[in-house]
Amino acid sequence: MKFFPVILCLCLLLIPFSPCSVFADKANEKCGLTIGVSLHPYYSWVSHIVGDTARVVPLIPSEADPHSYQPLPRDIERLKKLDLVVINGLGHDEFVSSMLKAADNPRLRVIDTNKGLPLISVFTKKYAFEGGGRQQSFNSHTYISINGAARQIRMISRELEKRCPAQAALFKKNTRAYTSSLQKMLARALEELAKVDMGKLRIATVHDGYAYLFQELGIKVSAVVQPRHGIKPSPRQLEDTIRRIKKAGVGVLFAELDYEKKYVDIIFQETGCRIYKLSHVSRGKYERDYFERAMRRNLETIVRALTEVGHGG
Amino acid sequence: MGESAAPGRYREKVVAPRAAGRETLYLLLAVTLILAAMALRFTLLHRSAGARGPESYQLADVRLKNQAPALYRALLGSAMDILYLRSADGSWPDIDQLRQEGLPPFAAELLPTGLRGFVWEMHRRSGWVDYFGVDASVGSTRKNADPLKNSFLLRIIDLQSDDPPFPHCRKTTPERYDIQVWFNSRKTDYPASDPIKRGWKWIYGAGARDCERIVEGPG
Repeated sequence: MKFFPVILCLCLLLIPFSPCSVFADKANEKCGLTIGVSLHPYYSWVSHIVGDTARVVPLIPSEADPHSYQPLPRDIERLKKLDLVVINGLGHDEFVSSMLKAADNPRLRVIDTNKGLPLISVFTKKYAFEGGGRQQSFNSHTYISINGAARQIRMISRELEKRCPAQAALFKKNTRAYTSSLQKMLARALEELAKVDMGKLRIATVHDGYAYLFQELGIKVSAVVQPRHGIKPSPRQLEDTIRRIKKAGVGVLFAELDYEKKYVDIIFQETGCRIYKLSHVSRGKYERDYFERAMRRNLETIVRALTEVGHGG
Repeated sequence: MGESAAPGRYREKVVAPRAAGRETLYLLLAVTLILAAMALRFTLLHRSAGARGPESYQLADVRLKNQAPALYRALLGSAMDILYLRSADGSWPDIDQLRQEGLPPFAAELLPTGLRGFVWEMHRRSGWVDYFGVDASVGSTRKNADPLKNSFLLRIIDLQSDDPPFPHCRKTTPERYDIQVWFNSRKTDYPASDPIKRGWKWIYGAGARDCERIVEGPG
């Protein structure tokens, strides 16, 4: 009994060296990787996976348009210092391919988020000098989705686990928690939409970027009234938009956040169509919770829109 | 035109060219031959370009209607996670495990309401695994009435096994697995043997890009 305090002190001294403690320390050690990301959602995803164990670096400034970004020399220099880069690979970040070539970094590993994903086909008309017919490509907006995002997050996590085996358990845990949180958001939205009779609703979007999300929600899009985002409609295009909305009998139009109010008012006056705005999840400050906030907002907007219009509100 | 006579000078006489009536005919014949030659050349070019249409038992994913594309993509998307789970655990994951992993369509709460009635079952074989689903709430007598009334099958084939089922893809890449989604317009039983004879269609889309050719039988 008199040796009990001594034994207790020895045990306390040995705690830091216990297996649990060692593994916990290992997991929280820095993975040491510097991971580049080409789009906003990927910043959120990778940040959630790695936590503080690795550094996540955006490839372009927060307000830059990935469709039209022209890389600068400092961007190439940054790429030379990266260990991994997460890209879209379907044309949404075309600036990346020229950057990768210019950087010529042999140890840089590329994670293509869309590899092996089921994609939505897009058919565009080929001109006569191109041989005519139709050209097939794929809708690149796989990141504007929840189940699709969850698949991509798990895939990215597996790649990172291979690079940082000591942190693999931590990455798995973070990934499971994050995807579970995102999918709970989706499940709540689906429950709300189940209360809406969407049989007579006609829905259109001012952009084809939301196709994956609407498909996950079981919502059929009757028309995409403007093929390119970020382009201000001319009077002729606006007239065409109004005509197509009338022809399709559209009752709800989902536009983008920067769609100007004057167009909203004109379209409503001419067609009676209600307009709601969705985030393209591609602009704004790079933050860990950016994607979740943007998608929560999108889901809430969609539910509200269909509930209001579906119930005649 | 007939003859006319300028007063006191000369007389015009219209002379019709020889075989005038047949010139038009020859012209039309020449144009027809040219068009026929163009059509023949176009047909030969189309064949030589190696264009091969889908097989009779295949269905393009773009032809799926209503909510069928959502279920098709959910199945196809779950395949990568299934393969990962298999490599981690050494065995094909069962339906309960897929549900717990939060993988749609097995985790039904992550699907639109109309697709939640599907009941899934797993069938393991030596060289492949099938995940078969039907909407349990639907009768079986209506055909093509609604995609929700259809049956779906996710088949993952290990191309390195001794007896992969037919048909399967020979890949252009070193990819080990062939991932297939099959569709039947009726609510039906699990196709234990040849799905083609049971009226199933193999849905093809973006995933077919690396399919060099379809192997339909041994040898």
